Amino acid sequence: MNRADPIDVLIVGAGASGSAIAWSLAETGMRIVCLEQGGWPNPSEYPSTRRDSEVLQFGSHSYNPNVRRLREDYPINVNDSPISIANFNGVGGGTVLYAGHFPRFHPSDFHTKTLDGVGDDWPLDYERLEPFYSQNDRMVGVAGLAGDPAYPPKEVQLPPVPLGQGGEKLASGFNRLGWHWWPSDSAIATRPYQGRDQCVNLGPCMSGCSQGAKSSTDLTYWPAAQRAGVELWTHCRVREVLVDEDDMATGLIYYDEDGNEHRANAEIVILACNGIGTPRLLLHSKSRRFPDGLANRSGLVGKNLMHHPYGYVQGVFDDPLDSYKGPIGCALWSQEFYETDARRGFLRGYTLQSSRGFGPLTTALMGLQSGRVAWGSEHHDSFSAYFNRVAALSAICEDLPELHNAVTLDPDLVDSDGIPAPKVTYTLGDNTRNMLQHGVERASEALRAAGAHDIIVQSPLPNAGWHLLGTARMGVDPEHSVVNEWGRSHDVKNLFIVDGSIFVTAAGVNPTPTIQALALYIAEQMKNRLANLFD
Amino acid sequence: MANEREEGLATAEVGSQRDLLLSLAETLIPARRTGGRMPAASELAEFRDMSSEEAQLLYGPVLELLRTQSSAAASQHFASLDLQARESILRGLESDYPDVVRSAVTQTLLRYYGADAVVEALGLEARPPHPQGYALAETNWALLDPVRERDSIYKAAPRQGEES
Repeated sequence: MNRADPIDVLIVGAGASGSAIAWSLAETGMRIVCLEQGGWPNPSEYPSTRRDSEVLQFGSHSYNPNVRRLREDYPINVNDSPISIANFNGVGGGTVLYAGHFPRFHPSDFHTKTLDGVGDDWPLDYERLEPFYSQNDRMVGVAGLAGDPAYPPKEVQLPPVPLGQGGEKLASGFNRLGWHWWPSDSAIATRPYQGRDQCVNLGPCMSGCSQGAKSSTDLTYWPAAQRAGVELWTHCRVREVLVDEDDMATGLIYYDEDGNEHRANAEIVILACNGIGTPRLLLHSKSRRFPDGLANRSGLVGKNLMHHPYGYVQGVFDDPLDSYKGPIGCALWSQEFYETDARRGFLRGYTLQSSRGFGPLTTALMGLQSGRVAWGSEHHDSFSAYFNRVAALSAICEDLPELHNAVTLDPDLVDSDGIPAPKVTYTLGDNTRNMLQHGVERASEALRAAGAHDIIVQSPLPNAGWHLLGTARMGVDPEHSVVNEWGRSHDVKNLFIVDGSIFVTAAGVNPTPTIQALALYIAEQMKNRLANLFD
Repeated sequence: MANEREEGLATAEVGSQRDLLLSLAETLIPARRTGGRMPAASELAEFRDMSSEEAQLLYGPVLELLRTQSSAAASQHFASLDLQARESILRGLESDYPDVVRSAVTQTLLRYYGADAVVEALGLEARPPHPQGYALAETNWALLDPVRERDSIYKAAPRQGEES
């Protein structure tokens, strides 16, 4: 195919959702092109292949784009937010740098208004999404254990990630308290799976998996989508979506790697740029028909930004734990405090997610920050008491949608192509603050029950804006949502959004399985409606 | 003749800066001789072979403070003091210039714990994690027995008609 040949579907963004919908739509035989502003990641260059792997995680391979500052990254103004943004701009998107912690939403998460009077109900439910969760799980290869009483029955494909000594201590602590825990669902191949090798416990999953065991979409969906004919154009950064006088999208303006401007026309445009990138692009796509930004007649584009504020609690144990070995964010979770109990002083709930310790350098730097590692004559004793003796629990709190938490365009800051950068304005709501406090207290209690003699708290974790949700929410009412119940823009009938920005509420779990299940669900809806997709 | 003298002075100055840097590094991370020997930062090539340009870039502000204020206070060059005296001076500087000392500590930790000699002294292998990886023992999932005995704890979705 020549680039100038007619295109049926243009997808912007090759991450979790863009890859899934590309793969699913491929069977239609349409010409599908995905534009990605970054390139293909190279696993042989990930930090874990290097002796200085720990240093690289603080610089060129940071998950913070404001630290990384690669050409394909765009700066993000977070001066008005206690939480900075994490992302990866390249094929695979955030899945390249995520931990692989892979929980589904729960049935109650889709009905928060009905059940608890907060947030809003989704226009779909767990039951409707369940086949797409399962389809996605099979593509990903989920490691876990069936039978978790915190979930409706579901299958897993692979045995769970080993808990390690730290995880076993935590499990014993939960048992002592009589609290729920279960091995995490993990997007990590614990056995060879569909051409990917099995995990060898490298540790730093969040700077890329050199082993290829972690399910990032450059290794899962993309090879399958490309085999099915989908084209992936890398180093193409989209500036704006174009519309005609009939409020139909006609295509995109984008820049290539050398900064040259191009236009690509298509019948359908799908945005998959995450909860920051999608509102940024929509707000920048102003026209006479859409003076406040594309698909923004509701005024909700960029509003209701939700994170998962993290209360991060480390426990220091007497015994060595081998805690720098194994997937950093995948061992076990507790959902003892997931469902609402108003007596706790907040509505909705949180997951307690375990994480392992770090290598010596990261341990030293974190210890310096927390005051646990001294310099001078006490250095070695303080370091020895801390290194390899840490296990941690994070309270992953359900954030609620609030209009004042927003993504806007920064008036001054621009990316390397001159496109305005996003600005994040975010404050923690009272409910979230109370939930964080409760989560930190319960995590501390569990760690002490597990035998920890020292507790170190960071709450909210500042560099933890991994989950970017809610900024182009879905719903049936065009006045109160940006896309309809199957992802189509209310205002532009051939424009779809499939990333985390369409979330109505955030739940208290990592969002990637739900982002991908939604993308597969929307693809199915599109395929079923091809004859009258724009009616 | 003048050139030789200038070169001599420059060499002396570089030597003096190197002494100062190594004495600072040793003060921040001294050797441990009991309970498993750990090298002092000043023993490592990462510090001994550091160019004066890099030292200036990474440690310039703290070296300047040590050259001026601390030496004046102690009436002696910082590098000629014993470890205890140097730590005492540095603690004093830390309370007056916390950011300067924090930066020096961070830079020292970055190089110290990146050094093969240190990693090996900790009993670890000085190698990248990949490709060998690490072994983790399989988990005994009998640990889950008390949880398996529980009823389901998730809240069911509202039935149709209960939706708002």
